[in-house]
Amino acid sequence: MEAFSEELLSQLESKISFVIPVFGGIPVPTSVVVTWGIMIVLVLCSIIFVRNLETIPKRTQNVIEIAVEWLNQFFEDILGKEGKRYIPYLSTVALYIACANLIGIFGFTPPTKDLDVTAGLAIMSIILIEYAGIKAKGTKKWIRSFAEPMALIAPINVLEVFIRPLSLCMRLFGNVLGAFVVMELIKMVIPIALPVPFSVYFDIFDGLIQAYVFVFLTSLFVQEAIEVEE
Amino acid sequence: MLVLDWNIIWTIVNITILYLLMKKFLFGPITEMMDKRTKTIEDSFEAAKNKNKEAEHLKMQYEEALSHAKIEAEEIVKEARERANDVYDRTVKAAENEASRVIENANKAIEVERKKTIEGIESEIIGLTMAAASKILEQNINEDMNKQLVDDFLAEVGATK
Repeated sequence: MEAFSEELLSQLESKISFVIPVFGGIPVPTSVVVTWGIMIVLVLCSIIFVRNLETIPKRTQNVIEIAVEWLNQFFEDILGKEGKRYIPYLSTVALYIACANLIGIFGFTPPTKDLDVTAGLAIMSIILIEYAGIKAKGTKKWIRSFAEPMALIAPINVLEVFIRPLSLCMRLFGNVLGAFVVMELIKMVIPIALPVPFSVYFDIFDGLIQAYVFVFLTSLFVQEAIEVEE
Repeated sequence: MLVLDWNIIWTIVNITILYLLMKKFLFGPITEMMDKRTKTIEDSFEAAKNKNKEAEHLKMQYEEALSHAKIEAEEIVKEARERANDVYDRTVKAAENEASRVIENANKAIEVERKKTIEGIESEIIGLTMAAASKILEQNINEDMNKQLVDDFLAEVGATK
């Protein structure tokens, strides 16, 4: 049992893949390397499938258009017309988290198991939310919006700026970490056949759900921020 | 395990780059294409609608022109008929006038000729009478008879005149 917990802890450690030998060595974590892989695959797929777009779509173009349209529709329903400009970013994050969560199936360490990655995503989300709020309301109104509906709860509103990204970050990280730990335990107990249905649940279902929840909440907060009170 | 360090920068940079690339290669072109398609479809619908409207308009114009043409044709025919009638009337009248003039002229000529003939005949008769009278006078049958003869003759001539 000792050895097992030791092993598990070492698995949870975010590892350094290699060190770039400049400026006295820049360490590159595994999560970043896997992220690069995901980026390359996503961008290459985009380039391959999106070139030669035709007005009258055929096979693959249809599938891609349906997927993009689904994402666009999903975010537009939440954000409304004013938030249309944030859709590409939210879609990108959705695709990235989905890929990052699913990549465990192929034997890679999910980048979302690294707290740095989820924290980075959450920080970008809160920057996006506040940026959208400032852009939609103007700086003055944005500052004043902290004192709404009454000045008394202003501290709570300010706290929200930190709580929101923290909850986003921790939810994603915790889910992926939990799934990883449970899967490791199951594999340790019965390494054959049994992990398959659990993997379907933890890696695929939970992974997609978490990607969905992350972008859903982010877009919800953005909508709240750009909403102009009558 | 729960350590946050400056490795966050990696994620932020990576996601930003991924966002820009995805926007350039996936969402940008796809959205643009779909918007373009929407526009194309809308445009073609609009064009079809316009064409229909135009056709309807043209049809109405043609029908109007056709009915106009009918009325015009009727008018032209009517006018032509009137003009023809007019011309006919005038021609007939002119012919009648001409004819009456010719007849009058002929009558006048006949009259003149007749007068001339009568005059000729008269002078001839007078000549003949004079000759006959002188013959008779030469014979000198009798004074009274002569006188009687001349008187009768003159009366006769006067009656014919």
